[in-house]
Amino acid sequence: MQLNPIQIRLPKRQIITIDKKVKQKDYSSRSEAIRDYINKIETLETLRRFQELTFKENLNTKKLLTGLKNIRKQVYNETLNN
Amino acid sequence: MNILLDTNFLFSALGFDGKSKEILEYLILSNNNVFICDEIYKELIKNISQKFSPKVKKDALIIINYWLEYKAIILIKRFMYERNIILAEKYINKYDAPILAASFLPEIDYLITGDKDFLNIKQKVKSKIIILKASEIVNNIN
Repeated sequence: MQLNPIQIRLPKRQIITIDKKVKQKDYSSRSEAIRDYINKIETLETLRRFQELTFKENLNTKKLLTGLKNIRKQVYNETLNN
Repeated sequence: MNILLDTNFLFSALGFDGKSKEILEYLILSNNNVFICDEIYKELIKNISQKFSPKVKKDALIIINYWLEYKAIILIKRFMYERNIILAEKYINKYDAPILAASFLPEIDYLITGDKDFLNIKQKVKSKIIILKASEIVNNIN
């Protein structure tokens, strides 16, 4: 994946937090830390989006979980036949 | 930590507010890595295809593929755990064995499942893997 440079301005508090994470070796650089934060937020947004889709389809927990054992058997048989 | 998620836990977490969703959000925000194996991926696709209408299904599958593309969820290919399946079948039925086999990989620390078949073998599996109910994981992972 190609990475493109941008300039951003952050409050000092956030810069300190990021630098602390880099110092602790949680991230190799400020860029990596910021990329990871953005990835996490995007993933949480998609989780919420998925939840909206289930509401849209009127699927409750029971409906969504019903039949999973049968699906597992189907996948097993298909894998075996391949 | 590296956590393998079972299908029932994922659907419980993906669709609704509650303990499973809290745990999944925690795993995403923390520095844990979340994994699924080939069988679980296929089950996700099949369940979505069977439960969602065609238009919504397309959007749901885009989200699943987004997670895999951006490594929010990491896919373990079958060839990596296939050799563990025979051992797994000693503990659990043949349908669940591939998932248990994937959890036997040295990289995997936990398998999260709500499946009673897995929970029943929790004490028998002598490895660092601990199979937990969703509601138990928060206490054990911290």
